[in-house]
Amino acid sequence: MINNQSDNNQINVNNQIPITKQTLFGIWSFRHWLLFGYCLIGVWSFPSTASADVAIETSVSRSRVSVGEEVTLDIIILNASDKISRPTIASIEGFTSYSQGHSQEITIVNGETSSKSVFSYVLIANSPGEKTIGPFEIHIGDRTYKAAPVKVDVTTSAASPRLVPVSQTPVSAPPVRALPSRNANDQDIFVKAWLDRDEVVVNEPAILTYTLYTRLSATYKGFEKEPQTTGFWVEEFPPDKTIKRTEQMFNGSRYVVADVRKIALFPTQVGVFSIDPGVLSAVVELRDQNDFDSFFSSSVFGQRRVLRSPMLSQIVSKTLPAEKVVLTVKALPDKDKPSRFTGSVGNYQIESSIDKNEVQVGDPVTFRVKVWGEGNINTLSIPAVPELRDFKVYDSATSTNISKNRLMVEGEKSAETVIVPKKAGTVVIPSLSFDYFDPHASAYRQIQTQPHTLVVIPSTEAKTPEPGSSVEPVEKEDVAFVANDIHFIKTDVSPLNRLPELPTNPFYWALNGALLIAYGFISVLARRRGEEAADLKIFRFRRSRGMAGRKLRGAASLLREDRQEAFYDEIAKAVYGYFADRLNRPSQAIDADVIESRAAEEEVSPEMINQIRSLLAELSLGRYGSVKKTKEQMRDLLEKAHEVIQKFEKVRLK
Amino acid sequence: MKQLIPRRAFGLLGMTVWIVSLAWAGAEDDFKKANAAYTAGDFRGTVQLYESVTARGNADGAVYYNLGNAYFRLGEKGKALLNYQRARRLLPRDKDVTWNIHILKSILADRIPDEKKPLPLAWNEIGLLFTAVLAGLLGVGVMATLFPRWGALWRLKTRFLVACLLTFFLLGAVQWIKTRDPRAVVLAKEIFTRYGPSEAETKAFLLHEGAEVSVLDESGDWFYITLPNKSSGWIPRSSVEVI
Repeated sequence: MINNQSDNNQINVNNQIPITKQTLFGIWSFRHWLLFGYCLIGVWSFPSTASADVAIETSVSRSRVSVGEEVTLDIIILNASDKISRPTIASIEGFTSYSQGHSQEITIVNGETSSKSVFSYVLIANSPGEKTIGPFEIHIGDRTYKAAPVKVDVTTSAASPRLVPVSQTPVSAPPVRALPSRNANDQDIFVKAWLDRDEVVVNEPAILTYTLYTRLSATYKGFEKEPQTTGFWVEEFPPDKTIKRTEQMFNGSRYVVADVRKIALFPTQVGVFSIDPGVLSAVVELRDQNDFDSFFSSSVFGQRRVLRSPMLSQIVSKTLPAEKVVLTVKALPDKDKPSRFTGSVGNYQIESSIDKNEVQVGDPVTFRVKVWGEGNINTLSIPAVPELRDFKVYDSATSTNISKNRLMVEGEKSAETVIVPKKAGTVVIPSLSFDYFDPHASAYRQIQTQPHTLVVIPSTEAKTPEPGSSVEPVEKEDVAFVANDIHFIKTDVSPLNRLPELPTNPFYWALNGALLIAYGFISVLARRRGEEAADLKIFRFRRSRGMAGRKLRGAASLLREDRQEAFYDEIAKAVYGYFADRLNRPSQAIDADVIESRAAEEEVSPEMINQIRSLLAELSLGRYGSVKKTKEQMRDLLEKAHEVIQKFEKVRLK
Repeated sequence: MKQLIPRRAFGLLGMTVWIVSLAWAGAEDDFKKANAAYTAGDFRGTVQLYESVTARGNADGAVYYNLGNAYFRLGEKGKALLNYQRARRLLPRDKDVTWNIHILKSILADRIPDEKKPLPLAWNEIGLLFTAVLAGLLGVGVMATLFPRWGALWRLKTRFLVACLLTFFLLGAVQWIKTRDPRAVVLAKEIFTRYGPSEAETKAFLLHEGAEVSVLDESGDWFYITLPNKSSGWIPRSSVEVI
């Protein structure tokens, strides 16, 4: 059914709460009645030809719409001279309909009068299919006229709403029709945004309310521009709890007043904030109630004259900017601020519980902490579970439940932590404390939970391992610092730790200097040695004495062992080797003549030559002769060899 | 046969060792006493003993570190940091020193980022390496003199020496770049730096005890210092101490 409401001057605030304004007739002044009477006289005094052919037209703005879209139905009655009743519509299934009003025009051109009455309806399609609207019946005077139904094809495709109000309720306000630019006066409808207090502390809520004042039929459609709430945590109050309608006298006029939106602002920082509350949008039904003066000024006879009926109305949209509001946010006092204060402001209570008082080792226990009260529950931080040794603590799950039904932000936040005991015994879970700032008392408060005692009994599954049973790895835990401090002093005397600063130490440089000098000395020495080694002659010459001495010592030890053959061999090696090295010849080429020829004559006496000859002869005899020599003879030979070599050392060679 | 090292040189070396060991023994005695005092909780006494060791000029990494600890316990954060940084200069990779500096910096008032990474090598270590290379060369020389077979190794000495000198030059250059500007630690509880070397100049910024700065210049009783964020100002010499 059509809601025939247009004559009731209704405001659809938020599309749900009807606000009844005083009736149209109630506010008509005497001059309006005078005007109306004049119009009637004017109409009757002209020869009426129009009354004979009354015509009825029906039209829809669109013949094809999607579900959720709007279509405007106009029933236009032309040239009706009698009183027109509101049309009745036989069928309007599949649509939600709203009356948009009734307008009437009477035109007098060159003495001819024509009239036009338009009944408008806004229809919103609910279900798809081909729909028939009508037929329609209109009573004009005593007669009843009928008009043919119209067909509208409703499709299922999703339709996008044209304007979504913040309250998210379905669009049901009439659409704005393009009409001449006539505007509602700022005095007719306006919005006031106001805060319930001018000064708060950080995280204390200030409630911003939008109050709509109207003298006209109006529909609140939501926000065209949302408020600027940077620096605030915003909690929105539910619209159905917000809107309250009253009538108030304001500046001598009667207004319908409604709180259309309420939000709680929790400031997050200190400062003076100028909040732009945004711009609201409303649809206003305008009636020509104040055109008395303009009517007379435009009544030029012989010209086209337009008479407007007092029943004419227009639907126009109206943006309603709200004035800025200023909020001062003060810092929380530093005095007496608890060290563990986390910024909660409001009024809270705390409670904790455990689901079991006695468990076995390895069985989980749920430890629940609940904070409830009034304030910004969302940003509240629940005190952490105390450090529990011998427990495995799993991450907490928190849940938040906020209620705004009483037009304040309140609720509860709870954290559930699962703890699993690892050792048997009686454990006390200590009480937790929660600090908050109470803005009413301007003081910090601390609330505490009760401690809980948990009896952990040994697990029945735990057994002492049997010898030979497999090894089960245990669950590892993180090694964590309990506190921070500096490391202990160094008491060791590890030489690297005890090295004084070298670059500034003279001893260090003295040592390096000494090393450098020694290095230079050695390098000269080593070079000389290298050169000598390169000269084999000198090398052999130098080593001759030492080599012979070593061989003779070997011969002496062989003599003690009485090994005759080896003794003679060793002596031969010593003597021949000595002369070979000394004279730089192969040892096979050595005999007395060679020695004699190499020795400078004045140095080598014939005696020495003889001695050498006899030594060499004795050696040959000893080595190759078959007669066994006595020890005495061998010792003589050794001494002789010593003597010869010693003497020959002093010989200068050619 | 000629003597490789003159007898007189032996005498000089012996003297040196004797003097050094005497000084060392005295320092060692104080070091042990100071450690005992620290363990007993007498931090003031500990500081005096360690300071007497450093005053004698033979402080080492362990002494500076322990002295830093004693100052830390006395709550003298600036002195503590100064000595920790001196210890770090001698023991750049020591974990205790690094940890204690980290803990100390966590309680300092000024937020100053660490500009440079800890030195990869201490000057001491470079010095030791140099001495070791010299000693090694000397050893090879002695061996080459005594045994002709070492002669081949000895003949490589020039190339080796060049390589070593190049390495030392590089190490020294890196080290010099890293330690070019002397670092200093603020010892005063609070001190304003100024735009010029005078109390009459405008105040620039406030530094607290333990702030570490680089000294760029000096003028009379004032140091021109800079922070890692390039803020610079003049600060009275008496309120800081160079590491």
